Amino acid sequence: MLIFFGLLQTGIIEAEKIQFFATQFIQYMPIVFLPVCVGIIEYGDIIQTFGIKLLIIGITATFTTLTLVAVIANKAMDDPSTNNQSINNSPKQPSDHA
Amino acid sequence: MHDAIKHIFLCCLFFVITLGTYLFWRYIQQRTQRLLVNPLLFSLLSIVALLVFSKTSYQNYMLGGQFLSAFIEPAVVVLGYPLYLQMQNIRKQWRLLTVLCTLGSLTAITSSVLLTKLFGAEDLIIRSISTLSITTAIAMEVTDRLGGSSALAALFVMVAGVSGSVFGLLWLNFLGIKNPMARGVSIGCASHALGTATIASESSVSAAYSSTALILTAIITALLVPVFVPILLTF
Repeated sequence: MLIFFGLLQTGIIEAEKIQFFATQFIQYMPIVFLPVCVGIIEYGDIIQTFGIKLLIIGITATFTTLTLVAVIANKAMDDPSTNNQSINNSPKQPSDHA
Repeated sequence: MHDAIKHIFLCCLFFVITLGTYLFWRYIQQRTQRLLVNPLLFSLLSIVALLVFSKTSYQNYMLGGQFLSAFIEPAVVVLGYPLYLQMQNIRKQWRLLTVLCTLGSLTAITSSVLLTKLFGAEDLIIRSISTLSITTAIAMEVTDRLGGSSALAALFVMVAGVSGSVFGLLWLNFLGIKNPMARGVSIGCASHALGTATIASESSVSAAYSSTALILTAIITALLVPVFVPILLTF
């Protein structure tokens, strides 16, 4: 990925030429991970013994991380497509003052 | 001769089934316009159910599945494209991104290890869960060195990836996080390549930030886990 990025950056690969291919491929990307995920059937016994607990722990840890990073990043970064955020923020501000 | 034909038949069969199942659920999602009808999760459940009912082994399934898995690396490579498009912004923010990913990495390690201890799980599981938020290959390597089970580590990586892909975007909507940069960083940090693959179809800005976050988080976590987990284990 970094090599590919470097080639784009230096102009060896022209970004316009691969745009169509890259955007299409990214649209369907999750499918390439599907067979590996089906690999959970290999862990049948572990899942039967601890399954639900481990699932709860994994999901809780993931969403704690997700929430923390998202909230801080949302505060720290300005939205580049500011329309999105200003639309979102503007109705709030009057109500804050009121 | 007979075996060879059977082999080729299985290859084609499972390849077509996997592709067909995914495209089917993707179509359903687009028809219903609901994020919860996640094509990845529904295809996963359909295929697992099919394999269990037909008593097919994972090895046989992978005869066909390998043709799709072979594209994992090219897929990750293609993520360099949105990264290239967003480089101007990312270069300005690299300090902030590093801080965010360090924070995310610490949260993932601490919360997973402490929760596992709280549930009273055995040492092996605790040593295998801390790398859940990073990409499988690195997670397995780091866990192995820490004395955990790399198979278990891969399982946790999958839990983080699938749950983040399926419910992550809904959760961010629920939290009211609209900024595509914040959405990208948080998904990349918590749900690695799988989350990135999902958010990439939503916005190319998110894709770029998610790709950056997944690289940074993987590096930072690989450095932190060997130091941090033994300390957490002594509590």
